[in-house]
Amino acid sequence: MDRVRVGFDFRFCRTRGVIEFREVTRIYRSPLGRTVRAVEGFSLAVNRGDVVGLAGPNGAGKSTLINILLGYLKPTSGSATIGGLQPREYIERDGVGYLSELVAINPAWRVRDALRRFAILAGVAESDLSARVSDVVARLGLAEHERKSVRQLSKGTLQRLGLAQALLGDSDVLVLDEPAHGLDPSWTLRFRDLVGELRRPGRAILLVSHDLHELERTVDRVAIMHRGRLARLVEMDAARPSLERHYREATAGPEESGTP
Amino acid sequence: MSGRLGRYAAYQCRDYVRERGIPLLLVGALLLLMAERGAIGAGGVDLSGSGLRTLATAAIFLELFAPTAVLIGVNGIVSGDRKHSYYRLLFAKPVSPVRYYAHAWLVSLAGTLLATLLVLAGFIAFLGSIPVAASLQFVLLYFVLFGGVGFLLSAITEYDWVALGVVWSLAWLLRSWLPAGESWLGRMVDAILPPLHLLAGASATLLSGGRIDTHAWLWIVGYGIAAFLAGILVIRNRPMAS
Repeated sequence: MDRVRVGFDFRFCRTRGVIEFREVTRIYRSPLGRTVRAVEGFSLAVNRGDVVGLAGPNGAGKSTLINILLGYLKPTSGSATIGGLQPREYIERDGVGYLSELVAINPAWRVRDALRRFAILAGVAESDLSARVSDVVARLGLAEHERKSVRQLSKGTLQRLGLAQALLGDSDVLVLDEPAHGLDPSWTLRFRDLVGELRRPGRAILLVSHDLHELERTVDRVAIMHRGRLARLVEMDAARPSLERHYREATAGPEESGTP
Repeated sequence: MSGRLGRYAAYQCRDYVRERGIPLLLVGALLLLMAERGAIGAGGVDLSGSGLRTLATAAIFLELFAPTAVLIGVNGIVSGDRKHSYYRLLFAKPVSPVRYYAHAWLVSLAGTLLATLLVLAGFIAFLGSIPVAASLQFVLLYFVLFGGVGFLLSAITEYDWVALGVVWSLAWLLRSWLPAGESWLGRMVDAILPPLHLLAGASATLLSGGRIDTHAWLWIVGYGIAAFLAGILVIRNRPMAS
């Protein structure tokens, strides 16, 4: 069990992570002065070639953490960096492949049209645009939906569209928030293959999921969050098939949850 | 970056037409119908010639059309994406929100002027000839001033159309209650609130071949651009998520 760590210490990190959270704390303050610590002292590095999962119960702070990673929220203290840069600095230069938990795309847009828009914003050259869009349409099985408007899509198809747009830019950083949510069993299986295809030495993938079985099958390490903290960091090759046990232990209660 | 947004501008134009341009043309058509039926016009104004009557009607028409056009043109321009969470996928791409929304505002300005041209064509066809360049200049000034303020408010709050209405009303009400020349409070109100009063009657001045006083012109344009730049600062510094 020596490969199961509680917390994360950068002194043990030999290579600099592509994605790095260093002692990130985020406190929400209400106008009446009440405070909620959504994330507290969270540290984690995702290196090139890594596929790292992020798990935790509702309210554990996963969404806040992703918002901080994308520069949509600022941490109260600590820092998040991508490629050694502030998130917005990196993203505005290179972009990241991001699938949000809630796939929010203008419902009036048509599927192919939406993908062309995202491809342009992702910096795909005009000469490659049609081929790149057709590629993700084929990979995510969207061909029969191309002419539909986004509002006509089922939950699962919308999820696939969200995943398709995340792959357009061929980014070195992928952040997939509940990517298999709403997918039917056959697409869930296909998604596992897809994560395998997306792995490459220069790419860091952060996969947020409630589905422990999904994580067991797709990632190298799982960071389990509880009450805003990194409760455990589980190396999958050592832990398999007992991620569920680690999860139960890590999220059992405040007195039992590990603190970094 | 600007290359990407330059290519994306075609889609922003399409969005403008569908979400703002068509509603604006519908409002313009309704206002034209009202003007043609005499509901908008130089009622009570003693005008000797029908040409002058047309100009007076056009002046009143523009004073109604311009604020409506700006309200439709900038409402939700930033706040809509926040409210619907569209920003999440858009700005994971290598795109600066500042440039994206600055582009969107410029597209809205261009679209509003184009829609105004079409409405003016309708005015000329049904009510008589009016100076097109002067009419466009009035709408342009209104957009720069009121649209700049609208952009700032949209960057600050998701209730931007309500806030814009409040600012518009306050600008009129407080100036009438606290005249600038009578107290320090009046001078402060005059300096802080958008100088909409300088646009009151400006349509008539421009349509009759006159010019807006240089000081007033600079104050209108300067205020609008300052508000727009403040909006840019807010977008740059305010996190998209809350």
